Amino acid sequence: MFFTLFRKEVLSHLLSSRFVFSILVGTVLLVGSSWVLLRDQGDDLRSYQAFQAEHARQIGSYETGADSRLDALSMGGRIVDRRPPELSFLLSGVHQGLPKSFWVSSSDGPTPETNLVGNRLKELFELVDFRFVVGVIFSLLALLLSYDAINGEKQTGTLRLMLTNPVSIRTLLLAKWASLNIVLALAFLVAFLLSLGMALLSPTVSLTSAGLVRLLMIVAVSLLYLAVFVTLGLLVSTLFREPYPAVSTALLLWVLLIFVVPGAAPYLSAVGEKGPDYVGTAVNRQDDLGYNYRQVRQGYLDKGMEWEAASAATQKLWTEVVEPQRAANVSRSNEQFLNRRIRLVERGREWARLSPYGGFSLAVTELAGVGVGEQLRFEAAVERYRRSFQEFIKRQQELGRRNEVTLAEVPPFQFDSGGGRFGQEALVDVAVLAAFVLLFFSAAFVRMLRYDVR
Amino acid sequence: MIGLTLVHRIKEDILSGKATVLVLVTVVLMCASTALTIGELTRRQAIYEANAARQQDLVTLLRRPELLSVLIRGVDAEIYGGKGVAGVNVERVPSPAYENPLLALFPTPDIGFIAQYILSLFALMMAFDVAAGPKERRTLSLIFSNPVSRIGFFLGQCLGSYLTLAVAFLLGLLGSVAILLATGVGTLDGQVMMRIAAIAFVTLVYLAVFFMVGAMISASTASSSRAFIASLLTWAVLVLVVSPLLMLLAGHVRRIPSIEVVTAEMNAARNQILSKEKAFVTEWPKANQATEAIEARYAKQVAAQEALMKTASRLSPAASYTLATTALAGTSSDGAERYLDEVRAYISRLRRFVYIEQEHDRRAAQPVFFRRTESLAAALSHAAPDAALLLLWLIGFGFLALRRFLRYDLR
Repeated sequence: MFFTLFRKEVLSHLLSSRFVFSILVGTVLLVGSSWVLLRDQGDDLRSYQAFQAEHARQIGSYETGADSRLDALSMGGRIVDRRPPELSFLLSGVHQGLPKSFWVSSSDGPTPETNLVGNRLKELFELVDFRFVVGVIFSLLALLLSYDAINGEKQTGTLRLMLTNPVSIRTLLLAKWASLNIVLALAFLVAFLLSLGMALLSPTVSLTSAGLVRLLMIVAVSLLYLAVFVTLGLLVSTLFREPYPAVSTALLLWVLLIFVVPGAAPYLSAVGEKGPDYVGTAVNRQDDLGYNYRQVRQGYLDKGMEWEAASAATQKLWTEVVEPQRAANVSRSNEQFLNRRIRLVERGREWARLSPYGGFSLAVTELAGVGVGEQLRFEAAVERYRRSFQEFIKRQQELGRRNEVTLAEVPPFQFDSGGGRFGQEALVDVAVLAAFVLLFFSAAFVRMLRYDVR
Repeated sequence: MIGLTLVHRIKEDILSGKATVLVLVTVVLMCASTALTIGELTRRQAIYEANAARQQDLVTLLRRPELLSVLIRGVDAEIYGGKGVAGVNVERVPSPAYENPLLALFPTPDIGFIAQYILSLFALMMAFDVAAGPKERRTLSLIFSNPVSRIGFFLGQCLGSYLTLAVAFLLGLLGSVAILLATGVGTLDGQVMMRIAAIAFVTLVYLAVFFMVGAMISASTASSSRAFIASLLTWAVLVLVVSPLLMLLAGHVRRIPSIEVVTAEMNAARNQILSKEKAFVTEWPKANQATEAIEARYAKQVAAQEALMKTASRLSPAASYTLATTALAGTSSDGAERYLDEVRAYISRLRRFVYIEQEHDRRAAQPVFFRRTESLAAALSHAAPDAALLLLWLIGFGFLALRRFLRYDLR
């Protein structure tokens, strides 16, 4: 019985104009966006490789006017870059909007390595990528397919007729649910495979096996996410006797879940928090802790010291007292800044998960390596690198290798984006999405038991 | 006749519960959104004050947050907050998304966003049955057996529902302004009030456009449920598909290098000039000139790309709405560009002072950064083209809707 119903439902959906519309819009948007993102990724990769070469060659900065190679290296610092993630042709996530290169020195940084402002319209308008197409467009299509699953049949009178046959309500509901999911998954997969096929044909993309696994996981999360909205539509259709109130309620819920709750999440997480303050941190880092080189030296000169001796004494004070204190101050400021951001993101994640779209966004961006968690891990790695760089400079100073130091000895920056922690945040999101499906389905089932079929 | 239909339609909306839900949801959403964004603005203002006070010995270029970013966030928070350190180094302060990374993932549901995405949807929900509804109930042919003009009836139906929507929006805006006043986050002088009024006007026109789209579809279909689905799909195409897709493609047509590439180019140009031993003492002005030239060239490229993207996106009223309201609130990307121009000019001036003038004349006065605030007239003129475009959309769709209804099959 289940299969008869299932087949009938699937066929009637496949022939509907809504299905054709879904495939059309989904394909145009997904193919269009991956075409553009592919080019962006290609550019990113090329400039990353160029930077790697450029930044490896660079020793010190010429701004400092240092006396020795070591001083130049210490103050000029290093620039570290993040490699574009493998799947950034699919999702832009936060990779486009947040800094990818940082400058660090022994006593300052990490500072985002650019003073430029790019195209600001990207902040003003929604970016089209996989997350937008699946999260916003396909969830709307899911509701449009499912909002009249039960009450539509009631209105046309076929529901009563159908239930005169030996069909249990459970079978009916399950058949409807399964067929809606299959049809929507079909529309999504057609659009997705077309855009993926185009991406794989391009020379810049070469998927590793780990990348393929992540891609499959993204598809699985997307299907689960669409199931949430299909089930929500089914629930709404059992709540009302007529299609119009059902579809307006579904739309209202959609608007709240897609636009309002996730958008409010970062703001809600900042309420009552002593948030991170970048400018304050940068100013703190450059704090001289009340010492002034010239004044100190003048003090020695006033005491009747010779110029040479006064300079040496000042330098001694600097290396023994001021520099270590400053180094500790920089580490402390950076740690505080990073920890406050991590806390803000963790709280924000909890708020965002209240909406399936929030959870979906977090999960897929994290799986594609363009998520918030991955960005913060990268920045934590940059800060660790800064400390090891600071250690290295200190050791060289102790050894007195002022001009012998070579670039090859400088510790290299390493960030393993394929590390074990990659995408682990997604697990919670997947669990929450599955809970949504279960919750909505059981509510629909309970409602259906009491549904007036006449 | 218009009056009678109008009153009847309003009563109908109120009795069906549609009006109540609409007003309630709109007011709650708008007030909640303002409360949230005010929290963010207070935080940004506090940071601004603290850092402006802290850096008295440095040249402060931090930008004071716009008050109306509470209603229309635009790019206000993304724009330059820079500090010039002794005129040599200019460090850009990254956008708030760097501090709170989730901001980079989700758009802010400010009032502009609510109007653009949510209220436009509500407009369609109010409009989809203006013609198909009475027809389905078989009252339409009955009505026109009386001496009733089609134009009068149609306009009355539309105005009635539209008024409910407009009242809902205005109530929400009133609530937001009340919250703004109560928290005392800034002073609402006459100029700010005029800006808010202009934003309200543009929003009402934008909502009317979508209302007319709904009415047109309603007068083209026989059943209201089909009208509803058709209007919804039209909404999805206009708001979610057309402008993002066109902007994406326009940005692709006029590609510009990424900021990382340009930064690398600037670094390379500077290092090449300064690479001679101890050259940094004498060659800095030349190096600065070289990097400033690259920066100015990049700014031009960005402006050209933005211009093309904006032109393309204007095919959808939703994009025009964003562009007009951000211009009115002082948070537009064009305004940001004008501000950046001033900053660049100032930095170049300051460098000339530090490297050249100060060397010749120790008592030369340091130039002061003076930010011209944009006048109300300027803001209005920047918003005018997009507002006019919205009015054109309104007239076009209104005409089409009326035309369809005049030929509507009443049976």
